[in-house]
Amino acid sequence: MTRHAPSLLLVSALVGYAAGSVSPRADVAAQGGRGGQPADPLGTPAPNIPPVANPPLYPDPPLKPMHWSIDDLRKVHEARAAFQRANPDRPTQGGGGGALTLPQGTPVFQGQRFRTHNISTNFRAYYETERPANLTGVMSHYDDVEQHEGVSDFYVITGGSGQMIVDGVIENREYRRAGGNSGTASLLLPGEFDGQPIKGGKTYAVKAGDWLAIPPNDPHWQLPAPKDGMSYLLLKINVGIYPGSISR
Amino acid sequence: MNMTLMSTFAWTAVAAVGCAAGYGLSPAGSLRAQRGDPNAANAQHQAPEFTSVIPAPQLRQPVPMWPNQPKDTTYWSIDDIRKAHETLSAAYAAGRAVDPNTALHDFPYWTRTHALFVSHTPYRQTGVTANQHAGYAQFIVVMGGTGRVVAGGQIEKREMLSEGGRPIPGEYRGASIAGGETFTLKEGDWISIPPDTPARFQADPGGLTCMVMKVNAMLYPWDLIR
Repeated sequence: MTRHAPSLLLVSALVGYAAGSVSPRADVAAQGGRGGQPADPLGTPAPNIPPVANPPLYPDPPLKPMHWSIDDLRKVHEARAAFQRANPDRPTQGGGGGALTLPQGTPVFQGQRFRTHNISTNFRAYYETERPANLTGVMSHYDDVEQHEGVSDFYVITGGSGQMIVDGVIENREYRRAGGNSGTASLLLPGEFDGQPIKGGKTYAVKAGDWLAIPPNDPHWQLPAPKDGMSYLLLKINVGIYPGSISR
Repeated sequence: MNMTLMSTFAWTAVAAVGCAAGYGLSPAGSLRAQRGDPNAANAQHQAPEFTSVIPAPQLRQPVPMWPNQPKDTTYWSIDDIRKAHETLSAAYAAGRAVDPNTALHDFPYWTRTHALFVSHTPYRQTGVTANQHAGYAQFIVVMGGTGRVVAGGQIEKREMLSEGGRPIPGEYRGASIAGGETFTLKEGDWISIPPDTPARFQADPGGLTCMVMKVNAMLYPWDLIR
């Protein structure tokens, strides 16, 4: 017995080692099934979830085609210009001058907003008397220069005339604020800048029918002619990942 | 008898001790180390320290929000725009096929998000004139001439565009549109056509020239856009 005991011990240890190598251990099972999820002890079948359909290429677009007649666009400009002549100190941007009430029968411009682009019009005036600019509040005959990191702008001048200064850099540049820079503190709009004037820009004399393609981050400044003002199509194309709520 | 019993007991005890020792030393035991918090020290969780064999390179410049866009503004005068229409109108009237984009400077105008093209519809154009584009919206400015556009509805006998035997998904063509709305067009008018909306242009004598802005639906491959 004593003579065979070490051999028996060794053989038994080998048998135990082999058994331990192949046995499913409780602590291994506790690590769960696929994807780290605990194994279902009741064997409940997986829920039958149908595959998700391909997302649309163009979610939430307006579905209706739209047409704008140049006759209506001219009438809108003429009405805005006439109103401005009658109220020369009224700011055209920011709503600071109260609601614009155009004569009855003036066509109402209806824009269109897509996920990718936005169609609207705008009107700018030359202020006979210097007044606080619409965004920075500096005293000027003109509204402020704008610069947008997140959108390309496409302009079609629809009425009036003046100059467009583009490219270059904005002097006294500030971050734009949602509620205007001269008022009480309000939300900063990252990627939106304003100020004036433009230094080192290029000047174009513009009139009705002209186009401008303004790339993202390029400063642009509307300098309307006195009395006539300037109306234009403002088509903004999102660069792709820019929050539409910031775009101005 | 007692000796035999004791011997059996001893054999069993030795075998049991051997099995237990072997089981404890088996490789499956190393899996036990995965249990619990691997970052615990003195029973307190410690923030893991991440190290990398290959350090991430420093970015040389911030990633721009507007890759591959023109740097400066482009300006087109209404005089040049009208001249482009007159050039195209005269060329088509003389039976000469001209690439409309050659009639106006800086055309076609490409960016990552949108592209501008000049399009000319000759008088009495026939055949496959109804188009439908799944990948982009269109904003159109009439540069010159007069005519009509039917937009919306359904293309009758719609077919997918094929070029050299290769189908172009998302591009559909046909000869006519059922339903839809008809708009009369002249110089200066604008039209907005949402993605996947059929449209068919027809020109009066002299033809109809338009600037067509194609606004990409964002994820659409440009090489599929027609």
